[in-house]
Amino acid sequence: MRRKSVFIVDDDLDIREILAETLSERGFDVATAANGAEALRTLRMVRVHPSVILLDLMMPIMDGYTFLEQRHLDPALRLIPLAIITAGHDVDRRRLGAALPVVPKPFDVPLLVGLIHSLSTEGSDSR
Amino acid sequence: MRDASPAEQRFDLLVGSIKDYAIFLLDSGGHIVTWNAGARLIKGYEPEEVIGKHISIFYTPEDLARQKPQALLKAASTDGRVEDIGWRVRKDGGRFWADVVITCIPDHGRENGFIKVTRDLTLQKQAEERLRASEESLVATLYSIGDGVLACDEHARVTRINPVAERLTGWREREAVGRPLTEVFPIINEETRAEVPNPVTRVLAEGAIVGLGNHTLLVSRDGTEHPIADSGAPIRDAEGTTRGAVLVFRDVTQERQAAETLRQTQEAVRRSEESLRATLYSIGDGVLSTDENARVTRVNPVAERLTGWPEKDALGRPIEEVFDIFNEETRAKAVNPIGRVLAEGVVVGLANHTGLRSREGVERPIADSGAPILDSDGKARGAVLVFRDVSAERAAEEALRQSEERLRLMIASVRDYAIYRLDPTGRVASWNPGAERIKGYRQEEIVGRPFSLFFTPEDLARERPARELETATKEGRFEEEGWRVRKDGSRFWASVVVTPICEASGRLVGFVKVTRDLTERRRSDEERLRLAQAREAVRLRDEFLSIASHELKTPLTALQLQLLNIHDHLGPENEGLSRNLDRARRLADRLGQLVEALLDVSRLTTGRLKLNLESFDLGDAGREVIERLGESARMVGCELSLQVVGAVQGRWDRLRIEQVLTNLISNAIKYAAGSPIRVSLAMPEPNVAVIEVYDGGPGIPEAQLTRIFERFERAASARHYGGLGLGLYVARQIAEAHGGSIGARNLPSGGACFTVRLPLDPPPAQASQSP
Repeated sequence: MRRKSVFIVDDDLDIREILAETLSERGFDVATAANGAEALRTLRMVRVHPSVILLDLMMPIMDGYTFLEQRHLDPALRLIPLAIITAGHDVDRRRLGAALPVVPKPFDVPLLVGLIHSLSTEGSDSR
Repeated sequence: MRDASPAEQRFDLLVGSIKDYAIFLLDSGGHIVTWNAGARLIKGYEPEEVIGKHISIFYTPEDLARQKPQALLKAASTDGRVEDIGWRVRKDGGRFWADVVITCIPDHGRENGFIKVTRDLTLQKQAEERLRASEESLVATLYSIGDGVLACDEHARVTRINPVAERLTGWREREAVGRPLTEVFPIINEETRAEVPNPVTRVLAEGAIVGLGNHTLLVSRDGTEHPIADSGAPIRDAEGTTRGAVLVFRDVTQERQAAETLRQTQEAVRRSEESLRATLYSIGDGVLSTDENARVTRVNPVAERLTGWPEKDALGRPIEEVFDIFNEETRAKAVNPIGRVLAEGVVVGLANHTGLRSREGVERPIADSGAPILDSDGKARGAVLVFRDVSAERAAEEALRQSEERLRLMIASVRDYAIYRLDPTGRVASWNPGAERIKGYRQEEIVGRPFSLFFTPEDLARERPARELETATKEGRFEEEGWRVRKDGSRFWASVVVTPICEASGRLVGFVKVTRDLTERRRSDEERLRLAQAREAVRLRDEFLSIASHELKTPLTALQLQLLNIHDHLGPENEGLSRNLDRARRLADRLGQLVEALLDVSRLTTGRLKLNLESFDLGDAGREVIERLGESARMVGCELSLQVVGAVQGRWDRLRIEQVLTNLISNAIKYAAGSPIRVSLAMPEPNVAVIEVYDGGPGIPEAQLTRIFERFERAASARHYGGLGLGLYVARQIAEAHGGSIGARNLPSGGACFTVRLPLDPPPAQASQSP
């Protein structure tokens, strides 16, 4: 069975690197982007899409909300499973939709790993 | 009131100064109206003796018997002019030979007057007498007299001719002597230009004195013509036989000119009179004039209307009859001003409140003044009354008075505003109940005192009162809000408007000041401002907390992950390092909780606490929390127990309710270390769930019981116990967001009990709470 891949979109370099290391050690392939715009560029370049996207909301250049809107307009990206990771206390559910899971920072790592597994399985099932 | 026109004045002067002619005006009946200096000299009467008398006093008894005065006036009326030469009588009874011309002055539609010009011809008459008496004396005087003299023998041949006659006839005496008189003295009728029979012929034939007819022209030797007046008289010898005749004649060119001037003057007077009349009759005020006896001479249409007397009826009547005035207040007859005008020659105004009663009995308030008509000597010849109906003015005044009265009553009833007047120097001149209410002074104790009393010492030091009036005067208004002082010394916040009051002439007569007490408004404004400022401060602090939490959590997240990764890489050989790492992870967790607490507070106070309601059993939530906190409680020696009475099912935000339980139990662990903690969950009454947390700690000081649920409040000092003191505050916010409540009490047995009451189904309004 192919290793599951996680695409981390977060503007904080420490979070990107350490979370990437944490998830790699738990058996995931990891790629990262520093904002929404960079994430869109990367996703449109690669031939194989990640199993799950972990998306921060508050980022410079293009924030998480805008990325979600762009993703929704692109049929190729719309179906990639996604979870929000945020340190913010104020999540705008109207813009996120009710279905998206939100993982607050700091992380409960076992919970996060379980969520990634369940999202990627759902994503596989729906394909 | 109108003075005599310049034309009239000139005329008066002219006539007045003529001394060679008596010139005077007669009314239609032949009564004397004016009297000039010439008339005085010739006739010997003073004006006051003669004015108003009939001209018949100048005539001889013989003429009176023939009714000559009446005949002459009639002739003047008919022909416009009549001339007469004859004897007249002086005041002293002496007679004089007079040349009289009476000219009619037509007066449109009314009876005529006359102007009479009389010349004393006595001198000429006497010369004739002398000629008749003595040729010798004639010869002596012949050459020196101013008239032309020509003498002839009984055959009408020229015997003598004097220098004046030489000049007028163009004949030298030596050439003329011996020639027929008709050759030297040819005369023609001025109008027909036919030869006129020489008077000498008649004198010689009749032995009588013969006068020349009017309009006789003497044609001189060189053809020049002279209008002349003359008369011829016989020269008798001692026996009375006519021995010749003498002709005395003069050039009347100048007299003609004088007569013409007179005529023109009369015309000017007539025109002046007409313009006077026109003016008089067209002005809007009533005009009545009288003669010096206070008898009416003129009534203009306005005066006719106001008095009810048509001019024709009023003329000649005493002024009191036509101009019937009375005191409006006493209703007594008022003193007519004409009497004083005539007696003193001064302008007299009417007293106030004078009414005029018309002929029909209509009464009107009037204003008037009387003025004398003065002659050139400054004597009053009559008076003029100018008056007007002041009913409309009176009504307007009354309306104004009533309006002022209404305004005064209105101001007197205003209680919310101090409305009062100041005199120009800033002293209080009036006071209303509003002013008494706001400032505390009664009217009798403040009127007359300076308004600077209302100012604070600071404003007085800066001379604000004077500046206020100065600005109001200069700019027409002064307006400000500021502190003012009441009678009792207390201050109030006043809105002040000062407006100057000026007369129509622009003279400042005072100020109106309107003051409102805005203390209450200012207080509530300040209150509102303080509240807004406090809210803003809270909002800024919450925003800071929110950002700070977020910024703190990001590195904390990285730190926790890093510690986890290190932990994962440690083998069993690194046991000592592993213990150190565990301590680091616990510290990081505590940091995380503190940040979370900060964030909770921020959420609660910025109104972003949103409840996600779901149905669950309170017992399940309680057990989960007890399980999670069991380790911490044990570590400080607390025995943690849970008692659930029945099923406590409700709709709440599970995470928040767990947070309430966590905070209450954590609080007990913190303060009641070493004693048991008991949690009870029950539904003692329908639809209300009750959470109770009992501890065996020191209890809560009574004074703190209500304050401990405030933010950053704690019953013990910060140094003794850790934490931000936010736990109870958050618990209260969550309880209230669910429509519930929270309270604390000390137990009689020692320790404290916290109680939370939650409705089973929170009302919808509570589902999303506001601060």
